[in-house]
Amino acid sequence: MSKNYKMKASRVGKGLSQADLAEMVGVTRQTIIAIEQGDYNPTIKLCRAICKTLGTSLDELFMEDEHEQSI
Amino acid sequence: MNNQFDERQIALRGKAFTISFIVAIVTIGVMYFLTDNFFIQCSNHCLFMILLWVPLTVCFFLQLAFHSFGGLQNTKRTLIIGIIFLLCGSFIVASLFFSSPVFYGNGLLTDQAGSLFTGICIIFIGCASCFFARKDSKNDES
Repeated sequence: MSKNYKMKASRVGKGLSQADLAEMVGVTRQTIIAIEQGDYNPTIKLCRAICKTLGTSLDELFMEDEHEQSI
Repeated sequence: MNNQFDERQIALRGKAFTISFIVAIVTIGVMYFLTDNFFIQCSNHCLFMILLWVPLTVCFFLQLAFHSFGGLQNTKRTLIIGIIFLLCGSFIVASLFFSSPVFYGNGLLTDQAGSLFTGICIIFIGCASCFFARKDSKNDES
């Protein structure tokens, strides 16, 4: 799985640390790290909670572009 | 239950339990293989302690390594449990050495060898808990 740079950029853009985001969506910081590193594939429920917190859509954060998929 | 785990922790805890269950079965096989073929005899207490603490230690270690041991309040709980384990393990090992132990006698591993093994496993879990709690408490961005 590739790294989720979009989520990291969106989180940093909102001025949130990994710990802040983790607390807001009710998971551990390690889970947020694992998602950003591409080590963990979150459920749709968690994806939605993250999107809601960061004020973005699922497509923006978790949908891979075509050129990303080919890499 | 007061303690809660997130979805990643639940999945990884399941993985840790599965691996330690397999380790338990392998340990039973290895111990019977050793005692039958290599004539390494163990007292019942020693055998029981080895069969109990090998999978338990693996289970604890994997949960700690996967950051899925202490639930959402991970760091504090892990550190407290680590300190308790360290104290208990140290007490077992220290009390053993104050009683001039014999670990191997009359061709078999004695009860005291089993107690030493238990103490070492508990100290290992305690050290691992403290290490991972300290690592988790560092709030650096990865």
